[in-house]
Amino acid sequence: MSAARTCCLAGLLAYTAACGDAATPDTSSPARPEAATASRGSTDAVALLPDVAAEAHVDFVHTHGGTGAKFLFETMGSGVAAADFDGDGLPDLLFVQSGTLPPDDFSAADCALAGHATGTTARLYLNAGTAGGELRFRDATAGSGLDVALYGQGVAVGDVDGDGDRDVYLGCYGRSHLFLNDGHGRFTDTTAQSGIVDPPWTTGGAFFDADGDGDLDLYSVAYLDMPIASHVVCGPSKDIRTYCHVDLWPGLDDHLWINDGTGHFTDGSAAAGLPGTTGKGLAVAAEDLDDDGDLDLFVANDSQANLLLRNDGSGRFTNRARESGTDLNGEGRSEACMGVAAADLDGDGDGDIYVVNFQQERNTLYRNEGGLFFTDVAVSSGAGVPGMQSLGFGVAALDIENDGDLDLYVANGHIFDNVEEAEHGATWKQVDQLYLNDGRGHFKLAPGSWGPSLSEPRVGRGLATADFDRDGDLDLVVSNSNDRPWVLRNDAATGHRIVLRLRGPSGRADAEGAVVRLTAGGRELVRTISPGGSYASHMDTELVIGLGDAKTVDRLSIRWPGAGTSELLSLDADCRYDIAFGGEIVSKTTLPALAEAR
Amino acid sequence: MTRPGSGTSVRAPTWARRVALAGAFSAALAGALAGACSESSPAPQGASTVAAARGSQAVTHGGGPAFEAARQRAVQLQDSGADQGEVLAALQAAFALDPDHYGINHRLARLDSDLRLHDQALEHFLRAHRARPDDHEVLMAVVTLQVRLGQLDEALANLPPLEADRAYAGDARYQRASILDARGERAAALALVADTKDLPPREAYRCESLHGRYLLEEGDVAGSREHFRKALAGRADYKEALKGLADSCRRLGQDTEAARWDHVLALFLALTDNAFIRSPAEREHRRATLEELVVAYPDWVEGFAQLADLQLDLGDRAAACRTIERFLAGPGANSPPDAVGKLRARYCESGGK
Repeated sequence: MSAARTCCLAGLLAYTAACGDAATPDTSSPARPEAATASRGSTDAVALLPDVAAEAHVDFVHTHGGTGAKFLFETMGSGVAAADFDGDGLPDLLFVQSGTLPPDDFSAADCALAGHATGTTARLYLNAGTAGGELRFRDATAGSGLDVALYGQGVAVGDVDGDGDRDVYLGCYGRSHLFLNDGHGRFTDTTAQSGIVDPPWTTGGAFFDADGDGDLDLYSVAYLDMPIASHVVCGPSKDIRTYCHVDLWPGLDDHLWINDGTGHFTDGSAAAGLPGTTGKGLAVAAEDLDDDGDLDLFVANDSQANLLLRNDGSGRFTNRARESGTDLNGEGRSEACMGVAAADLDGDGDGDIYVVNFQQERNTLYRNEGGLFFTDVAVSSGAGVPGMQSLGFGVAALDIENDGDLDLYVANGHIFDNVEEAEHGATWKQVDQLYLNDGRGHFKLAPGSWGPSLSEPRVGRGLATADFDRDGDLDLVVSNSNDRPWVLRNDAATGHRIVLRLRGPSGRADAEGAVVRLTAGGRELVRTISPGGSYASHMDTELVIGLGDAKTVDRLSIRWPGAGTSELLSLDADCRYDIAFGGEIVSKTTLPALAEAR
Repeated sequence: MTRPGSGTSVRAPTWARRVALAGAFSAALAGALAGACSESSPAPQGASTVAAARGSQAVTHGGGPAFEAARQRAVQLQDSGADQGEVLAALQAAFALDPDHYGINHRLARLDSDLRLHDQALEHFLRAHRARPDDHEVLMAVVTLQVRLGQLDEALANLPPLEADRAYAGDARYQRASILDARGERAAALALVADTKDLPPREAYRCESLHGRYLLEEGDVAGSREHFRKALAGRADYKEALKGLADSCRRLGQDTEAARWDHVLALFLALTDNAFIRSPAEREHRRATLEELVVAYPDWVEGFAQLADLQLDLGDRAAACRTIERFLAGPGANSPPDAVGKLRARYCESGGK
């Protein structure tokens, strides 16, 4: 949809009201909750992040289809999307599925070959709410239109036709796919008409308004030019077969697909001036890194220099990775980057970049210094060194405690399913890591007692966040390779919070790229609706902003993409606000007291 | 991804080693070159081992004719550049007969490091260290790997003898500072790397570079730039310092100089990235990169040597000779006459080497 830029909304929209007709709930207890009882697992230990997958009826099992041939794509796992697909206001789940490989004849590099053998497909779970206090999902895959066979890897979500619902892009080993939503969680495969013709292996992407015309364009991330015919077997000896190093194959070109507003795309890569995007991309995050009002892109490449694509606002990009200091780590080395989170991690108001890497490489935290300069502060931040003991894929910046700073959750898992044979001390299954922020960008690992995902190893890949149980904190879902996912209910949050659903222009579902600045309790917090991020996954676009002890948001400023800034004053905390594009509050509801919600 | 790949081969002996073996350089020149030799990889280059070999580690024969025969075969294969799988099998066979042998463990450790199998490399370096506790090169490799693998207490315990050894004091100080920093003790780490007066430049480069990084983090950009420059004076190909210098220059508005260091670093990365690719095309690519590097960055003396050796390996003695002459006309202009003669004999005269 080619919506014209709406007028500037510099005017002040003062809004002062209590939350509904109920008194603001007092959830100011500063102490960590007693913790919920882990609802599943082998122990009765309390957990602050219990896995509720089984209780919530999420029975998805990822299948990578490996037969021992060691095709690299088998071990890359797949992503997960958290978004409201059926328009009921509740975030749903879409698990991308890899598939079962035909046993012998895999000569054609078409991902459609994969799932046909057993009918393994993506799985759509619609959120059925929290009747009886327990989160429930309903498997709505059959007949959804997403139940098509493909060897899927990544997912991006966005309202590409501007009709108010969220559409789905799947990156595959093979041809990528686009599905349009009818608003009720039923999809039509419009790949053939979409104009999107990606390279034969895309790991995901991000929908964002690249050119400022009001609709969502697509940046698709491509990985390796690895046709089946090029397959080779690797390993440290004849007795141990492992997946090969990515150095053995050339990278592929990422693409920028320009939307005409109806969900039909043209290849705008060259016109956008995308320079040198041939790489081995595994993740992309969109964030306004230079604070100029448009979304820039950071692309995490595997064993090659990363990309930082600065947007000039009109959809032309310049790779500033080298100049910004983000192409390599601080040691001057390219890393095997798997996933990325871009957000204000040190609380200074600008977007930092956190990249998770291969085992025995630190995770890298690039601190934004302003002027599009970044410094690798991995060691001093505490968020780098612990990553050397694990292989990170999915990553999310979220305020797990609602204390006003962004923590980091990393889904870990090695790529070698036999790494125990090949490498002493390494394991295929690994525990995830939760880095708790002290508010100044210094992190410490949460203990394993916080929950099963931090103590029971699995092979983590995709990771997404959403407030699935609508209690005003962010829950997590992790797609584990060849395994069941984690669905982690957040019982760790204790602080006050404000939840914002920001609608997009001209009926578009979401305001991707909107930047929220709020003042509460003497602090200024900055949060962006940042498309992409993590690994092969999509985060729900609703902003859940922890406020700590603050019960009131003194000032809430929203910079709308391409449409100026609106401002709200004196908003009560512990409410969910639905805000129309431009700044008018459509609705607000009182959030439950966190203790009551549990 | 840092993972083992096929086609990996043991890297050729470094320039300095070959030069030393050939006796082609005077001590002074060889020393100058050796300073730029062993890249900051956490351990010497090397090999890999397999579970089968480890499974037989309990078998200790303590040498004997069978072991010696196996050892000689492995060494011969490795030094002749034989197929990696063959080398591995031979080394493992020797290892199985004497799991505590210094040389075999050292070779396996180097190969493991080359394959980035750091756990195995550490295991073999530890065995080599037990065989020769006074070998500080091995102990330094042990510490470096322990830091990399997060075994910080073990690394700290191993540092004192290295810190007392002038040849390793710089690296040891760097590692202690890194450990302190990883534990949140930045001030102590900074104090360590800030005091390098007792270290010769070639031993101080890592501390200088780390000092530069600390200052850059703290916003002292001009100060950081000077420490990155000092680091490069000690070690011209140190990537961390190259990147730091480029970044600090850019933040100071010195875009031209920043671009120069960017370019140099990009060329080094072209040499070291895609490290698992070994093909004729890769050798040509490497040659072209080295040719560009010696022009763009003649301070990197090692580059002339690597390029000349590669040109010789590719059968282009005339080009190798031109490279050496360029070296002698540039950074090697003050080389002692006997070293000059030996270089010309090696690279310019038919039958040299």
